[in-house]
Amino acid sequence: MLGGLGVRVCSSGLRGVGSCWSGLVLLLALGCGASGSEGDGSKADTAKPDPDETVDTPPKDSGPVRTPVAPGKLQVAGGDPGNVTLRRLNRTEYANTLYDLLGVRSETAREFPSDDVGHGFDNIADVLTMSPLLTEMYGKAANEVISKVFAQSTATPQVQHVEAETLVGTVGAALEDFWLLFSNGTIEHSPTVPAQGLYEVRVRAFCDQGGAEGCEMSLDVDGLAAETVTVTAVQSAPAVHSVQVELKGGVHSIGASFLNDFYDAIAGVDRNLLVDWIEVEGPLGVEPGPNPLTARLLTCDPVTIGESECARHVLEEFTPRAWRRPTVDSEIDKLMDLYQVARAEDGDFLAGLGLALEGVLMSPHFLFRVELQADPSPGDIVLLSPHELATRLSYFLWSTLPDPELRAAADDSSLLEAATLMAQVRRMLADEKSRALVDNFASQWLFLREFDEHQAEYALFPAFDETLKGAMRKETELMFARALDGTLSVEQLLTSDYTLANDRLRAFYGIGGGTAEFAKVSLAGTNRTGLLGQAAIQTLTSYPARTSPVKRGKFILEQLLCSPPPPPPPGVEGLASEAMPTGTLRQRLEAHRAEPTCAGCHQLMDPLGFALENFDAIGAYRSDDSGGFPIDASGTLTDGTQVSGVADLAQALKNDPRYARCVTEKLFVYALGRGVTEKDTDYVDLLSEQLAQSAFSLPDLLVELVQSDTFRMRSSETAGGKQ
Amino acid sequence: MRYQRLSRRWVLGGAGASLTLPFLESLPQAGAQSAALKRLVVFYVPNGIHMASWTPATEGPDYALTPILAPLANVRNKVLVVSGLANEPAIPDGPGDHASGTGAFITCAHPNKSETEIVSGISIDQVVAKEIGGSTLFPSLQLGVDAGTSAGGCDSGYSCAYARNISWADPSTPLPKLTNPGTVYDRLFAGLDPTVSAADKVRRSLYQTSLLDYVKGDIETLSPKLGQRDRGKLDEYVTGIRELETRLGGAGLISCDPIARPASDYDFVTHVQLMTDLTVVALQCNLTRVVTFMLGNAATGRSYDFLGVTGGHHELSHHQDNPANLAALETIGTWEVQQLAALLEKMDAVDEGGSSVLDNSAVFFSSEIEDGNSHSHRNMPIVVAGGLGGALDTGRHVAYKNQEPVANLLVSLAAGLDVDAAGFGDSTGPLSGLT
Repeated sequence: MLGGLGVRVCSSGLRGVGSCWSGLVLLLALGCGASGSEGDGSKADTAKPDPDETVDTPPKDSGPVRTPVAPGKLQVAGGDPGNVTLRRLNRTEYANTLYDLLGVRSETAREFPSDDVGHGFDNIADVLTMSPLLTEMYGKAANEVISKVFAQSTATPQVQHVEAETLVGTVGAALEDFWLLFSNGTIEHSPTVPAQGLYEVRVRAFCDQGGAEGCEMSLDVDGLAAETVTVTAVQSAPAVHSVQVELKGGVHSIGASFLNDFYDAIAGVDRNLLVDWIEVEGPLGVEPGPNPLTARLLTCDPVTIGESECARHVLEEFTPRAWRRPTVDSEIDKLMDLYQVARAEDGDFLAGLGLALEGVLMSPHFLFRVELQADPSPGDIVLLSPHELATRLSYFLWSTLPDPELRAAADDSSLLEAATLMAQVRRMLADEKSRALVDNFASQWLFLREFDEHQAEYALFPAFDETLKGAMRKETELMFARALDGTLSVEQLLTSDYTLANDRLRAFYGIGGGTAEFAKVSLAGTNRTGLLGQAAIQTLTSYPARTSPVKRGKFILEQLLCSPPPPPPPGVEGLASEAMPTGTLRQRLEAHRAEPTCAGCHQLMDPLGFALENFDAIGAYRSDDSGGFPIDASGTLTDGTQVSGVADLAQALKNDPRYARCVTEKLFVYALGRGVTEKDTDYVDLLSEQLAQSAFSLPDLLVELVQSDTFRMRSSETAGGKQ
Repeated sequence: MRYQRLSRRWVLGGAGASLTLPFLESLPQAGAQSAALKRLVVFYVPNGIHMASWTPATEGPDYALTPILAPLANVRNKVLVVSGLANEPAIPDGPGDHASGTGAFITCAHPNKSETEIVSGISIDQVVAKEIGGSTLFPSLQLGVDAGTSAGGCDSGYSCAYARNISWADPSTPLPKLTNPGTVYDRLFAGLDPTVSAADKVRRSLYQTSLLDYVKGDIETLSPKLGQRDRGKLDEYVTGIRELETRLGGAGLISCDPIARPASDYDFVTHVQLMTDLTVVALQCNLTRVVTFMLGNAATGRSYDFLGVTGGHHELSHHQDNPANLAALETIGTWEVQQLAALLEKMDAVDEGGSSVLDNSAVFFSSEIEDGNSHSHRNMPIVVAGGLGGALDTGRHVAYKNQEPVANLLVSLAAGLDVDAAGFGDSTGPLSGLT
C-alpha cells in the first residue's frame, strides 16, 4: 500500500522542503512512483483489481523513473505548501469543461446560481459549496448535454403549419377557412421546435377593415409580441406576415393577436381580424445530417463490435478525460451497470450509453477536482500526482480540463520534470484558451465583471450605453492580455502611454483618427496613462451619480497594493450624496479627514482617489466637477510623494514594491483557490522578488508560480476541518 | 385551449399588468382539500429602512399607516407591524453590518467573520422546510433578483456568501437563490410537462434513481480517501442527492396546470413582479410551502432612478440625516413595501375554500439592518403578514419594549406552522403578544 498512499515526501517532523527532495528521489528509486493518486499511470490495468482497492491503488505501470523537478529557487526552508480543500468546479469551469469534452454548450449551466466569492474570486475552494439546487441543476445539465450529443441529427429544418380554424382563440369563432377575431384577442398554438436556432414565424391573415385603419396584429412568441404589423390585406388576397426569432428547443406558443378592435354599431363600422394559418419554420440555416457530436464521441460501431463492447470502449475513452485521470476497470464496471439499466429498459444502445455518460458527469470525480488525502497524518507534505498537477495547471491557466498534450505529459509523468512543466506552461499561455485568465482572473481582480450590474444614472450620463460599456471593458481586457503575453510588463500595465481603443472609445477619449476596430493608439494629449487612466476602472470605482475618491483610493489600496485600509469605526458613515453648496467634494472630504477618527484611513485613501478626479463617474475627462468647481487632482501620498493626476499616480504606484507583490498575491490566491496565510508569506515574497528580477514579466511570474512548491505540493489536512 | 388563455394572461401580468383574480381562481385549488395548508415566506430588502417614515406612532389596531407602510392599506387587517425587536447575533465583529446582518437575517446566529470559513446557523425557513418540506415537491425555494457579480470583497472581510444568501441548510451551507424567472419556472414545472407520457416518466424516474444510487456509491468509495474538510464538501453533495431522491418519490403528489414560461426580457420592476408571481403560483400549486426572496443583495448600490431618485441605494442609505437623502430613502422604502403589498394581495386573491393563501401563511418582511446610517441591529423594521390560519392576531402595530430577539418571533411563526423551533438562533422562547 505504500504506493497507494501516495508519495510521502517528508514527514511533518522534517520541515525543510529542500531536504524532502532526497526523500522523494529515494521513493521514486524504490518504484513508488510519483503516481500517488487513484488510477494514476499511463493506462488502466486490464487485470480487474479488487473493487475495494480501486480508488487508491495505482496501476502497476508507473512508467520509467523520472527525474523530479530540481529543487528550485522557489523553495522556502521549512515551508508549508498548504492545503486546498476539495474544489468544486465553479460555473465557468464547469461550462468550459463540458464544452471541451463534448463540443456542446449547456443552457442549464448558464443558469447556475452565481458561485459565492471569497478573497475577491469565485474559485475559492472553501466557499464553493454544493447545494441541493446545484445538485439538481448538475443533473439537468448532464441530461441536457448528453441528449444534445445523441440527438438523432442536427435538427432538420421543418415547417410546422396549423390552420387557424382548427385552433380555438381567446375570442371569436371559426369562420370557414379562418379564425375570426371579432374583438381583441389571441389565437395561438404550441408547436415543439427541435433545437435552438433561428426560426421564422408566419401568419397569414386579412383585415375586415372598419374605417380607414387596418388591423393591428402582433405576431406572438411565448405570449409576447415579437412584431406588430398593420394588416391591410383583404379577403380575396390574405397576406403573409413574418418575423424571425431565436428559439430554444422545446415547446413554444406561437400565435397572433388582434390589437385594435373597433365596433360602432350605429355607424355600422366593425373591424375584425381573420387569421388563415400560423406556421413556424426552422431552424434556419442548418444543414441536415448526422450529428457530428455523436460521431466524435462514438468511436466504435456497436453493430460490428457488439453493443456492450462499444459502450465500454466509449466509457474507457471518455471517463479518463472527464475525470482528468486514468480510470480503473471497476470504475468502468459501475458505469456499465448504469448502461445496462437503460439499455434493458429502453432497448436502445444510445439510451444505455447516455445514462452511463450522465453518470460520469454526475460523479464527484467530475464535479470536484479530487486531490487525494495521501496520508492520514496531518502536516505531511506530498507532491501532487502528475494528473493532479495537470489539473491544477489547466484550471489555473485555462479554466478547463487538460487537453490531450497536457494529459499525455501527465500520463507519462514527464510533467513532473521541470523542463516539461515549464514548456507546458509556455505552450498553454500561447494557446488562446489562456484568455480564461483575462475573463476569470483579470475580470475579477480589476472588477470588470461588475459591468454586468454597474449602473450610471442616465440623466447624468446619457453616453453610458451598452456599446460604450463594452468598449471600456474590452480596452482593459485587451491591455491585460498584452501583459499576459509579455508585450507589456506588469509595471507598464500602470504606466503605458498607449492603449487599445475602437472608434467609440477614441471619440470618448477625444482621440482623432484610427479605425473602427480596436487598435493601438497613443494616449499623448489625453491626460490618460495606463490602467488607472482607463474608463473601465474609473467607472467601476464610482457611484451611479458621482465619483468617489474614497472608493477609488480603496480600489488602489485593496486591488493594486493589497493593503486594505482599516475599516471605518462604527457610527462613522459615508459622505452625503447631494452636492452641498458649501464646497467641493475635496473640501468636504478634507473636512472629513480633519476628524481624528477618520484621518488615519482617509489619508491613505483620499489622495490616491483625488489624483483621478479629472475623470467623472463614467471616466470622461473633465476639468470642473459636477458642481462647477475646478478639479484639483493633487495630493500627498503617505510616503510624502507629491502626485498630481493619473500619470504621477501611476509612477508612484509602479515604484511602490507593494504593487508587484500584490499582483503576485492575487495570482497566488486565484491559482490555488485559497487565501494567503502567514505560511505563504515567504512564497509570495520570493515570487514577487522573482517578478522584479524578470523585468516584471507576467508570463514569467506564471511560470515561476506554477513551479513553486505551493503549486506542486500539498500538505495533508490538519485536524479539525469544516464543522 | 384553456392553457393558452391562461398563458397569455400570465405573460401580460409579467409585462406590467397585475395578475387578475379570475386567473388565479381558474387554477385548481391545491389547498382546498386541506384548508390548513400553512406556508412561510420571507421577504428581504437591503440597506435598512428610513425608520421615521416607517414606525407607526401608536400601537394597537388603530395605528395610522406611515408613508412607507401606506401601500399595505388594502391588506392592513392581515398585517402585523412589529417594532422593538433586535437581532443581536447580527452585530458583526468590527465593520461588516450588511453582510453580517444578511448572514444572520433569519439564522439569528452570529456569522463568522471570514472570506472562507463560512459559518452562520440554520435559517428558520430551513428549520420549517425540514419538518414540512417533505410534503411538497420542493422542500423550499430560494429566489432573488440580484445574481451578484464577483469582484473585490463583499463587505469588510465577510465572504460574499453572507451577503447574497439568507437561507442556510446548516451552519456552513448557504443555499443559493435563483434569479432568472424562466429558470425558476422550468424548475417548478419541469415535472409537469403534459407532453411527457406516463411511461416516459416512469422510465426517467428509474434512470434518475439509478444515477443517484451510482453517485452515492461513488461518494461512499471516495469519501474515506479524503481529509475531513474535503469530506464536508462531499457531504453537501450527498444532501443534494437525498433531496432529489425524495423529490423523485413524491413527484406524483401534485397536479397543477402548467402556465406559460415568463418572458426573458424584463426590467427590474418587472423582474421583481415575476418573482413574486412565481412565489404565489408555487404556493398555490403546493409545489412548495417555504419561499425566501431577496429583493437585492446586501448593501446593493442599485440606482432607483426610475423612481426619480438620484444616487445608489447603499450610498443614499448612509443618509447622515440629510433631508434629501431621507426623502430618497422614503421613496425607495415605499416602493419596496409596494412590492410586498403586491405579493400579499396576490396571495390574498387565492381562495382556498373560505380562506386565502395569505390567511394561511406567514410572510416575514425585514432588512439586514435597521437603518443605513446607524447600521443598528436593534429596533428592526419588521412586518409579519398573513394569519397562519388564525395563529396570528393581525391588523395591529405591536411594539416590544425590551429588544426581544427576532429569533423569538421566528420561533413563534414556526410554531404557527406546527414546527417546534425551540433553541433556534438566540431565541429565548416564543414571542408573546402575537395572538
